Amino acid sequence: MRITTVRRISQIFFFALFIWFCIASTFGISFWQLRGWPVNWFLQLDPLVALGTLLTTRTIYAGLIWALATIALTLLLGRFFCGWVCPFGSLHHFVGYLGSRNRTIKDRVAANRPLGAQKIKYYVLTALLSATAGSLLISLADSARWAPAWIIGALVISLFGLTAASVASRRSNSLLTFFFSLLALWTAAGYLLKIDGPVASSLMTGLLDPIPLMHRSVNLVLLPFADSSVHIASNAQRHYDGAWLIGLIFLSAVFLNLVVPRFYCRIVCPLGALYGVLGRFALWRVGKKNSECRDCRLCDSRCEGACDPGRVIRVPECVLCMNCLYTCKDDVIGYNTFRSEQGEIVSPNLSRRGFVVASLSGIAAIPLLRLDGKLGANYDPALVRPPGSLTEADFLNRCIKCGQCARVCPTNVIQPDEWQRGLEGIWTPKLNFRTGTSGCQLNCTACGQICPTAAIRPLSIDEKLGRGSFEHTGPIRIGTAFVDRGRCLPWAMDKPCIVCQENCPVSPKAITVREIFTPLQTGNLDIAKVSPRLVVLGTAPLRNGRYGTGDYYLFVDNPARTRVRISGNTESSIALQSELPAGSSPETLKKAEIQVRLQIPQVDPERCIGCGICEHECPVSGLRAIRVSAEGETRHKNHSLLLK
Amino acid sequence: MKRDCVKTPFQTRMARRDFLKRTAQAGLAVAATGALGYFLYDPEGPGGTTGKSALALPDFSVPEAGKHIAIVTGTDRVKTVNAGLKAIGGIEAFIKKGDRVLIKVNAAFATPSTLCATTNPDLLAEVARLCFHAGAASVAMADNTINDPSSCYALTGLAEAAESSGVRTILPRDSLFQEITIPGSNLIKDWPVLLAPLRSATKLIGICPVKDHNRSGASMTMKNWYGFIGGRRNIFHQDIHTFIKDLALMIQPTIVILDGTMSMVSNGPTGGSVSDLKPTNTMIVSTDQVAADAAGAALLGRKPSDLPFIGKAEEAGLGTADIEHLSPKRINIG
Amino acid sequence: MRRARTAETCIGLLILIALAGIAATIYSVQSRFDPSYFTAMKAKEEKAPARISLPAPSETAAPSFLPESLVPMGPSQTFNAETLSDKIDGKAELYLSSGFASLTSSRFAKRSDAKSWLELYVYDMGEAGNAFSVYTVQKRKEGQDFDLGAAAYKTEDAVFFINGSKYVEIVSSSPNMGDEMLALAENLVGSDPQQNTRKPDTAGFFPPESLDAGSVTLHMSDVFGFSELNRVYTANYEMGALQVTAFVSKRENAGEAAGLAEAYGRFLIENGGSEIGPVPGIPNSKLYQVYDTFETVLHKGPFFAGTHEAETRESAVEIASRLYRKLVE
Repeated sequence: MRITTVRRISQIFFFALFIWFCIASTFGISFWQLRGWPVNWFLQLDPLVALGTLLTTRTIYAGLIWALATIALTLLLGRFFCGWVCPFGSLHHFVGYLGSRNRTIKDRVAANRPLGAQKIKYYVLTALLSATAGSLLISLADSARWAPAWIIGALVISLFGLTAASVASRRSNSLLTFFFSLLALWTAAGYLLKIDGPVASSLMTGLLDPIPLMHRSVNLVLLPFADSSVHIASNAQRHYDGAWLIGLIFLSAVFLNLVVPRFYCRIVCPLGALYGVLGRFALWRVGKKNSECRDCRLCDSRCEGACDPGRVIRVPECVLCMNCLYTCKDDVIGYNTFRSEQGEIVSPNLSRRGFVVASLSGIAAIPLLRLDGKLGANYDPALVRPPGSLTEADFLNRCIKCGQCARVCPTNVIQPDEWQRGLEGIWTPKLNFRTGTSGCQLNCTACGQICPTAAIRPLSIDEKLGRGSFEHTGPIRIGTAFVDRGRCLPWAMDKPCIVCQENCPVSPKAITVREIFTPLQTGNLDIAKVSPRLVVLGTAPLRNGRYGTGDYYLFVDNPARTRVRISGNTESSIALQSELPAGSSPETLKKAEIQVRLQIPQVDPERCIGCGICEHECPVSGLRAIRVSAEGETRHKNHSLLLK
Repeated sequence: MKRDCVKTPFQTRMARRDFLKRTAQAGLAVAATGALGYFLYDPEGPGGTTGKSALALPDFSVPEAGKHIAIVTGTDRVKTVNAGLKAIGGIEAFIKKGDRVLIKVNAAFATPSTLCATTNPDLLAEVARLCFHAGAASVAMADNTINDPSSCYALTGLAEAAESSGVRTILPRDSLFQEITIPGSNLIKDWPVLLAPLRSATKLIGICPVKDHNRSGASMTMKNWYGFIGGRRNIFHQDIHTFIKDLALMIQPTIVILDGTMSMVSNGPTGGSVSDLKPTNTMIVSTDQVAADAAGAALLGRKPSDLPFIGKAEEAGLGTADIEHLSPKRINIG
Repeated sequence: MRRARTAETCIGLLILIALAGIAATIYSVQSRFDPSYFTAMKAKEEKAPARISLPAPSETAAPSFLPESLVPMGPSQTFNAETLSDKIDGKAELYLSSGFASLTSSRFAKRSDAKSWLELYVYDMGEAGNAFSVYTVQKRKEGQDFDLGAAAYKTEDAVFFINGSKYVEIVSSSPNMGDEMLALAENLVGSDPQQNTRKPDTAGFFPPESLDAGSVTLHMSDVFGFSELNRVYTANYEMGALQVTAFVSKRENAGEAAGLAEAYGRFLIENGGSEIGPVPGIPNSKLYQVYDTFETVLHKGPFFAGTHEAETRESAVEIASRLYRKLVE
């Protein structure tokens, strides 16, 4: 059995598994639904997710520990993940294969030559990881507050010294240099910049990390698209804000394979870059067994990593596709315990200048993005995060933008953010109560349970509702509903409506109504004839049948201020449900008028949890007359509306 | 292995050395990653929620005092309970100085004490007095009542008896409950249990009347622990006998006192009239709740085998239904 | 050109086994989950409010049926089929199996002595037959019947009666509230527009001679352990030292009565009985011996009737004959 056959089976297996997990992320307990399927497994295997959250939070959350297995295997074997497991890689592999079928061998060899641009992914990785280093920086700077300046100075100098030494020892670009220079840069930046300002970390790896990217694309674009005619994964059509951009990026990455095979893996992928750095000690490596090579370059014809196995192999680029073992006519290339006979390039050959630029721009990017002050007083009230979300800074330290929460949400109310929160917040989850089938469901904690990084905490129902041992903390609020009095039917237009109050799921209800009676525009009625249950008018000012709904009353301006409910009307007569006061006549009813009984809604901010069901149901279908915004959300004490 | 290894070409030797070096480096890196992962592993996540954990409640029994049952006949509850406690070794054998005693009363219904649907207030007062006498630091009573708690305590007369004898009344607030799973139980899984009073007590005494029960056949000492259960608990009526067994599994009491001075022989568990009662003039005091219920069954004119929960509890090893096995002290004080 | 080697094949197979292992593990993991996380969907289905309290405390006014000597203690509470066991726990089954619609309970204290109080339970059983059934099934032997228009009895500390489709219990905290209980009961019957002063036409089924009038009971389901037998009136007869239970049930039509008689006969035989033959002098009848008791079963028009657990053959035949003559009338 050829090892390449096994590799293909493995790729198909993991690709199918990935797609199955995306389908099974439907909220429910049927076999094909969420149940206990480990739908986050690929994200948990992804060491970039683990490393990113490790740098921002200094913890490895629950399932992310799986990344250790991937890291360990990569240290021993090299970039096996890219060639054997990664579903995004397999897709590129397949599309690249389709694109090269009709090409000549010469063309294919040319397409698989190493490109200078392959270094880009290491700069991308450097920039993304530097962006996560802010909180590390803060803690280093914190220690700088108590440590004498000379210790810090010595530390920085020795770090720079170590960097210089490792560069000088002609082992530049080694893992050690990479590490020391990053640390030195971060420390120096932490010491020089004013820490209390907007310097912070943010987890941006999810933008380009292939596993979150693939999850996001399948969950939010491909699956809703494929499901739209069959409706297996959901009963109603799922909608996601900004799906076009996610789809565009995904399709671009896929179609670029027709230009350069595995374009994304070779040039962009930060995860591949990380594996490349990690795999430098790999015990087994692809390489020449001897130097009897005719230099025919056939090994390049199917090379997936563009790693130049026929000459000096670039180890960090090799994705272990094993094709060269079979394309070589002379059986020169093997998977060996020794290094390639013709030598190998172990490290990505980064330029120091490029490295410093990438690192500094990563460090600088977050402060720059946060100069808008949106983490503080200028917070965006329209950004309502799912229940259990951490404070915004902590949230951004963890969210990898994988879209799992938006996928699992049973009501489709969780949406990927577009540009509301700037580049930092793109594709992070927010609630849009106008889409979906309802608001945030009272007894549902699916988003927090699925979140692979605990950016949305896994709440229990008790904690969400503030019951049981959480009674003292109260329910989790994601915002507060506000009535727009200028748009609300009873408030602004004297039209009876209590839809929001009826739909409020909180017990006791957070929306209460106050009953008021308001005279109609018709003014005092010109009454010609009166019988106990019928009033006939001298003119015909009324709309036929309009006032029999039970909300309209005939108001008699007598000392008792009698109101009699109207049971029906014609243009010139009004039928009443009960009798008028005895002795009523056109004379006594001179000041009679039609009044409408209104129940005007009001929100009790102490009870409202911001679930948005009122906003979803509000009959003012455009800009709703009751809307939830982030004020009062539990996760930020300073967004609270009430003194407690 | 090969004998000619000495002649291995320089390059191969270099390659071997290189491989070993890489093995060491990779091994170190794996170990370092593993260690890092170990130290930084965070299974709970930020603001970890209180776990729904499997939990055995504290064992309140006093094994060194032995297994006893006393069956005292007489009409005066104060006298019979004193005689019963004395017969099983005296309350001092169970309650030591400084003990925090929790008394599980049956205050399920807001009915007057004359209906005997709830624990008799005089009996509560007397047991509390004895506990204080034996040196108890505090005595509290608790029950997750079926009707509104404060009116239950007030209308049954228990609140007044408690106040006059220094017993603290614990009202079942939501915050005192916690969702737990009792290891080995069939039904108590992630279910709210009135845990806080149990956690803070060192001894537990159950006092309840003998009652007919529409679903389970009889409500006695084991069924009395039902009042530690929260949530929509009437769902357990669907499998009441297994559930009573689970209750007995959950609670290992210090002493149970089964008041059969007046037994509710019909229309239980609420009763509704003194004519549902029958003077059976018996007080059962035991350290074995299964035996106490077996003895109580006779007061309702039933055999222990008529009540499946007794058999289930015995099978689960929670006590014996064969009273004679415990050589019961039978006392008649008229 | 290279050929796959044995080592390569072995490694390949190991990898495939590992993949199969991963698949198997994932498959076994998927069945382990906590269903409580998925309750959001269920919550939509069960929307009924848990408890309806009427009226609110501030509006608690003395109801019109309340005698002068009593004052309300807090608002009344209403329970539906789902919440009934919140109030009466395990006894709920009895009512639920007999067509229970709602229970309203309220407490009233004596004006002169706040420590004496009583609780009023009004069970709305949907229809008069159901109310009669729960009334009779629970009837206390020591109770004294008294005249309230409808069926009613009192014990030392409680009053029980039916009123139309309602079964009412009044339970007091002390025995000195007899007058208040009676006054309340009378007011309730008097003030209720759907009052039913007629006694249910039950005793009419049973020949009055040596009938224990207080023993007439309506069983709603599972009568005598037979699941098909429902809505059956039973009554006890004293024959000297012997007691015989007679039963009558009016069915939809004669065919149903005949069918039921036959099914019940089969049920008796399945449970260890043997058919002895017809009851002398009664058409469409059969006499059964079940261990050492005697059963008679007969049907006449829409009526299905007979006697139950008579200790002698003679007493069974005697009561059956009387019953038959009454039914012929």
